[in-house]
Amino acid sequence: MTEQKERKRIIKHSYLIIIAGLVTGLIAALLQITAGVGPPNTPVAYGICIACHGRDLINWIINAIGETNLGYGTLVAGVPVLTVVGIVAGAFISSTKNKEFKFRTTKNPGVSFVCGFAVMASALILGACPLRAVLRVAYGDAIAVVGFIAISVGVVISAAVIKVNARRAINREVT
Amino acid sequence: MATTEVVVSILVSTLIGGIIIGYLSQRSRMCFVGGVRDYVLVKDTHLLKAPLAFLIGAVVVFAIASLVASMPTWPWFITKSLMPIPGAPLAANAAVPIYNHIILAIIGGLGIGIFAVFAGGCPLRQHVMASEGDKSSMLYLLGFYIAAVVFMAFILPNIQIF
Repeated sequence: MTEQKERKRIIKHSYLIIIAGLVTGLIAALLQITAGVGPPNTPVAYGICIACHGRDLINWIINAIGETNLGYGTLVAGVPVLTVVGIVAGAFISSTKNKEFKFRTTKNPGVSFVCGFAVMASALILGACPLRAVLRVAYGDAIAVVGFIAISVGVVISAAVIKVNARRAINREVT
Repeated sequence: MATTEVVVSILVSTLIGGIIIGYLSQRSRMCFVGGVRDYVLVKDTHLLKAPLAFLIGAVVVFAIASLVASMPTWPWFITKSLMPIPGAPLAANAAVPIYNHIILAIIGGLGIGIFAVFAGGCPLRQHVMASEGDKSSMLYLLGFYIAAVVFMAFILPNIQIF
């Protein structure tokens, strides 16, 4: 009986991730077409990009407060889009509603900070976060295919490093 | 200058879209980097379904939109061949050779892949985890947004044509 329940849970979860991916793709494309987050005034395939939208938002705010002139992507109607704010809000609503919100401490705060910095810098060099890389592939951009393959290669490299480190730790414990 | 209605409609629609995406990605633990990582480490394809579904969903919407309305630049590869898409660095400069954009894409992609795995997920997943109360993800976001300012102010002007 419990086994059956477990299997049902796994199947439900597997539907959920497909639906989540599909809906995100639909929203990303629809935002470009309907809300005008797209041509001719803005970069194409720009319906969702965590890195670019975050950059637009933060730099727009800093420019508004201080008298700086930080660059950002082309803005729709002169205002930054709020997808990143929405994502944080939506995830917060979901986690509190399902009682999954919990403060968790961190073991090595420096690593997280450096990783965040490096990922944002790399994403802006590529001109896309992983989501926008896939969206650009959907838009038919060949350079984004190269970019996504490069992301996958990077993942393979650091997965290999993690694997080697784990094996070394096990060996140390054994000997 | 855009009218107030246009501004409000853009802000509201992107906010609502973001809330739906955030809600679903919290429920499903969707991660675009985690799919490849889990497949490499433990041969698990569960998280790989999300980017695949994302791709299908976006292509379907673009295809339908190009049938009913005009989508002059879709698909990009056929209309503009290897031209860089706007929004990539140096894309505004037409004098930059194409291999340059490809090199930038490779450098950026490798950087994202390597550091995202050490952080424990793609930027979307980190935003979701920070909203769940994970302090290491909050520190990640701090670095993320500081990098946005530093990159635009100091790094981008120094990316040279090579």
